[in-house]
Amino acid sequence: MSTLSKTMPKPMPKLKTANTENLITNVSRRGFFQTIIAGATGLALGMALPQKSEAQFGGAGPATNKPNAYIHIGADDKVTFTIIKGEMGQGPMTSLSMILAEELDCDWKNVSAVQAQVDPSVYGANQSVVGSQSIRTLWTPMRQIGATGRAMLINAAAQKWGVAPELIRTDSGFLINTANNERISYGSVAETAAKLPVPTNVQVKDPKNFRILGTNVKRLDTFGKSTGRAGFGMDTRLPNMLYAVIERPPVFGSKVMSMDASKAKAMPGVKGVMEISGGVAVIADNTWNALQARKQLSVTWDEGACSQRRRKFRERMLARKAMRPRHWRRA
Amino acid sequence: MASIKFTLNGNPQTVEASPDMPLLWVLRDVLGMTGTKFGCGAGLCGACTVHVEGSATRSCQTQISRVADKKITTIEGLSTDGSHPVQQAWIELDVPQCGYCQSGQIMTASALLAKNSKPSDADIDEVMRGNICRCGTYQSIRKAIHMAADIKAKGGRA
Repeated sequence: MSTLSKTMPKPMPKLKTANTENLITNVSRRGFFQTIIAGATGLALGMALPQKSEAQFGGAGPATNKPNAYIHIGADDKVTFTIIKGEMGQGPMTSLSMILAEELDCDWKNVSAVQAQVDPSVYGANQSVVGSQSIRTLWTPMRQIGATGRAMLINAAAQKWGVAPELIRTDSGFLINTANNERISYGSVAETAAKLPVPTNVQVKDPKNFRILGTNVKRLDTFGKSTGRAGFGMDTRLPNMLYAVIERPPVFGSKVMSMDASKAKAMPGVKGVMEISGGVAVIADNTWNALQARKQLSVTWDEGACSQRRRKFRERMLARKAMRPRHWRRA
Repeated sequence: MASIKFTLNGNPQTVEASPDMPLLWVLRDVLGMTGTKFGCGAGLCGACTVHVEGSATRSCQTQISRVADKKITTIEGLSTDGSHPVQQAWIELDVPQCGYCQSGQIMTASALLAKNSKPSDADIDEVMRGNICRCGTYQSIRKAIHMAADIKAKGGRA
């Protein structure tokens, strides 16, 4: 990826609470979570992640003011985080959840994470997991939204008990009235919290009080990946969907000069053949039929600037280099 | 098109499909069971591994007509709740990274343990060598297979 060359680490910006808090919105009533948790009620917070920090690491994208990071605390004490970074094995579903759970001060056992959809108009240009950016760019905003959720639950408990919020502390998913040691769970005030305004000037934790960050928790994505339930891109199934495979040209930048798709179109289950950027798509009622039909395509390519002749020259050059390997040493 | 009957994860199953369609695509596209993965489509990577009559089999290289009347188990049928000893060990040791190859890894490992209850490192390497993992989880896989063997020996629960 070309942006990688520009991703020299910069010092972490000092944690400032003021620059993100006005971007946190209460979305409890907008029905967002009902789409991923059936009948969800409770407290849902959305946050428009600042895109500036991404640009700083070379992944400049269009600014978005739509909320694009979510936490949800259900009446049943279940906590659900929507993680905007793609889980490719590096662990953002777990690590970003740990940051959120730490500041929310919830019970890790009640945490689950869902993968956000891919949508640049909502999530910005960079949902990929590259260059160790996920933690560096999301550390501050994740702490902020988690701490804001915690503050709203405290305010809800303060209202319920008729005491000052300063008298309430939290402990692993519980709110405790320090005057009389009364305890209630987050879930029991989540609905009340959902009706409260989003506070400003929220304090994040002193790192010396971290109890989740810095520990070795179990990954949240392991169960799905050990049972065949984890959803990969290729596992998407929509009603009446069709399947496409692509006939690729021999070299980059080729264009279709001429094509005979008549045999391919006559194959079982084939719904269409179309030229797309970078190849020719064969569309059928299942992958196997599409693969079989692709073999019947006859395409003549205009290879353009990366012609076979040039490719052969490069292959000879690479073969020559391969005969004289450079010896790599461990640093 | 042909009508083909087989046993899938313990239940009778009939599909209408071209007899030469690989079992992989019948599972994924016709039956919508996406736990079994497409990797190379050439029998080289092991991502599509299922059990046919208990043996680890590459479903991308197995025509559906060849499994008529046979018993097939996929990752979805190994257990309903991730409780198979191999899955317990996988979860305990956080084996998967990206996870794409892991259904196949688990199916090959569980077929191995069904035949060899206490495999050595060499036994494991010999059987697992056909399952490629681009994340390089091989060391964890070997460790998890030993753990799964212990779990199985203790009656199936960790």
